[in-house]
Amino acid sequence: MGIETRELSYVYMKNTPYEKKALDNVSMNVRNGEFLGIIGHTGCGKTTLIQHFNALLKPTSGSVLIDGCDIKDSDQKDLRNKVGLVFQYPEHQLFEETVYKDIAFGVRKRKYDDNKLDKKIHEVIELVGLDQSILNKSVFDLSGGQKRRTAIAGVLIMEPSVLVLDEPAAGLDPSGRDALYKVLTDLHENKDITIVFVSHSMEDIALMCERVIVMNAGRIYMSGTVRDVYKRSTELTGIGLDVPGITRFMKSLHEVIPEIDGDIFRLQDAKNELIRLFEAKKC
Amino acid sequence: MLGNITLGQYVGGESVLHRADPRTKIIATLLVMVVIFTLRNVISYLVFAVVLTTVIFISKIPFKYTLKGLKPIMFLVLFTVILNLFTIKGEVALNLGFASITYEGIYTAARLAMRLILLVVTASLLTLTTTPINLTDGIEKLLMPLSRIGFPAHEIALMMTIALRFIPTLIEETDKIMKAQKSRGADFESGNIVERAKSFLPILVPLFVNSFKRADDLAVAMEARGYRGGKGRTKLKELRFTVYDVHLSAFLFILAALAVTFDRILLK
Repeated sequence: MGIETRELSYVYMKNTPYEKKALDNVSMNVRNGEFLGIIGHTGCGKTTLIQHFNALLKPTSGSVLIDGCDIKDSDQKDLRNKVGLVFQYPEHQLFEETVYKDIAFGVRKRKYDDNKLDKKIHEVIELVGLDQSILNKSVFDLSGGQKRRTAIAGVLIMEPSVLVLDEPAAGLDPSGRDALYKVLTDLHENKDITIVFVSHSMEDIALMCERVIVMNAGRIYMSGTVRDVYKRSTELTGIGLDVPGITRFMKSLHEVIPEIDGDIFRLQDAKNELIRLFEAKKC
Repeated sequence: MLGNITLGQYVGGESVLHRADPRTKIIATLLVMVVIFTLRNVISYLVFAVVLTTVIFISKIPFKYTLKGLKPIMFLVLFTVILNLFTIKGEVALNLGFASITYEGIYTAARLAMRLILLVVTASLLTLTTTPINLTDGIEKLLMPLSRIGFPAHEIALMMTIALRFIPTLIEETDKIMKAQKSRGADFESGNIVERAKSFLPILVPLFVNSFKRADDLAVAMEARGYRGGKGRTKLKELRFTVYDVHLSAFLFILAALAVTFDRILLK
């Protein structure tokens, strides 16, 4: 399922002294089955943009198409089942007495019978890598990482075909973050869920995404494959973003040893590149 | 995000009203309100409305903002007008069969509507030209004499400051949680009253949990910065009366005196 925006603009508090243009003529698309990264400085309009994807916000001008259908003409509840949105710090939305009940909240209108509901809940809890034993715990007794995965499970139970995550790793410790990223990769590869990953960490985007959209001041600044975009490091630095440390390292190596590929963004690739070089030297 | 700062009504600007000391403005507003209550004549109210319009003009605040404050009380105004139109007995002006409207009714209705509208516009003029911080500072200073007899002036001012400070934050947070729950299929618009009240639970629980956490954090942060209550506390920006305050108070006292006298003369 694809999402497309056409000349989308959004203005907060229109016709007041606080008026602020958050999105300016944004035309982009999310292709079916891809792992898309959206990156940009704080306040560049990332969050505003993704809130259009499930019609939480309506365009001030322009249009948003989900599966070719304008969000203005489609049923909002239906839309929200198709596009699951996980907000930044999603653990703040937990409210039920137990983890089980909280996860079930998203589907209470679907009138599943107990067996089916039970099955679904166990399914999603496994997807996000949590233990069954926490299902009867209070949501307020969980650790930060567990809470976040519970919140994601609460969105996944609606079986969206697109999952949009806003800064999903913000505030998590490295092990919580790695566990979460593994969950996302699994969802993408095994469940064929299209994932839109919003972040301001260039490392994380490089690690996770195939294609990336760079936003700046409410506009699309550039877009393309991770490789194409990260090559333009001077432009990225110009808008307050930074290429990953490993890229900077490889680039400076490239200046000294031209045989080395300077456009490397993942630790794994850097390792392979260096091994390749050493092997070549040996021969 | 800029979101929904509707309640921070302050509209910045450079005018006599913006520059005047909040204490002057608070007392002036109270005075003007008392005067509005004592007026009994529709013509006095009309004259007062003209004067108030001039003051709004001087404050350079867009006219529609001052009228915005009227929206929530429009129902009350209408209710008062209708009630008075039909219930006051006197010389019949219009007979509708089931009820009749009297000249006295029209007169009273007009008077009460004017009174309500003028009161609200006056009050909103205060909040529109004064930052919340200045406002609470002013209130604290005005209540200070009472603290000698044990009245917690500083504490009340502090509570007001914190409350005002967190209104936009809470609005933003409510908005966020509402959106998050909507993304999970929550529905706040349909169903009967009980269902709708219940549907707010997913918003209220997280909102309360987060607010308690925030209050805790704020208390710790304040203590870490050495907050020990109002005693001996100094201010970064000390309130000071200036020439604007003299002008404003002189203008208002003369206006109030004139209004009351004028009204009495008209009554005779």
